[in-house]
Amino acid sequence: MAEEHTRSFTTKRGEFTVRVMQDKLAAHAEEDVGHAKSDRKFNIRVKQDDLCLLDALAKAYGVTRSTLINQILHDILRDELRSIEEGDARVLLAHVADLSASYDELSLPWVYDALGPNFRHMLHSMLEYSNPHGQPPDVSMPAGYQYTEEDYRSTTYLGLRDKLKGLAK
Amino acid sequence: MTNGILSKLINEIGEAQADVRAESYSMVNVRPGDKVAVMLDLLSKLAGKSPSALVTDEISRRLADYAASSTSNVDVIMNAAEHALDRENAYGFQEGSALDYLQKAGILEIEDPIKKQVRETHIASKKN
Repeated sequence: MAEEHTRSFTTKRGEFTVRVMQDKLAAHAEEDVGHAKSDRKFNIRVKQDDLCLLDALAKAYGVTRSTLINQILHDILRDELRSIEEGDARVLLAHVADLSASYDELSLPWVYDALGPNFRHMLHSMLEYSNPHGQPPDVSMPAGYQYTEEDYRSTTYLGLRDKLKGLAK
Repeated sequence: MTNGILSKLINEIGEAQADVRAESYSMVNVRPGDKVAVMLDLLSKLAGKSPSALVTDEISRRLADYAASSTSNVDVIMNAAEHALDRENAYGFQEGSALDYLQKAGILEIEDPIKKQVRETHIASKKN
């Protein structure tokens, strides 16, 4: 069996042999498919006249009817989630939904939608103060000392910051 | 102008057709991504409604919003309206459909053949 997945070839540097362990590949693939692919189907009742508009929009934007319905469903659910005024309840619902989902790396979980402005606040705080609380860093320095980024940033942050600055030039 | 008798008749035709068409649905099989699927499942359980019952009416409103969101959608709306009115017994749009919302918002206007005939008769009678 291993022979079927072995290939030998010659380059300028000599002969190479490449072997693919199919057993491991298959096991890994099954794992991935099980996590990333949703098999859940829904039968949704759509008004006949809505189908006309769905199809016209889908044709105009070069997408399938199914893609458009999925986008609409996502928007409906996101806005329903965001309509919950109490932040803790909103995040709880989002978190429970996320626990049942298998996201790939590119998917944004519901908690991101639920946190909304708070998430942006946390992001701002992390970038500004290196903590998610929105508080200036607690740095023990003599009174009147003007602290700089170097006093409270992680060394990784500082190194990465400099590299990114270099990229921007 | 015998608008009393005729307008009542026209209204009755319109209402009868609206009743028939209001019940006109299609079942669409969708397989959303995992994110949408889990939340749809969760909300339908919380609301005690089927996923379909949860979103059917909202889909109409969203569709109307999408269509109204760009001036480049004039032909899209026109094509959809033509398609919808081309179906049997269609003198107007389904109550609560996206096209109905667009019509009620004044974005879309239709003049059905009966109304057109009434208008032309009215103009002709004025000329005479």
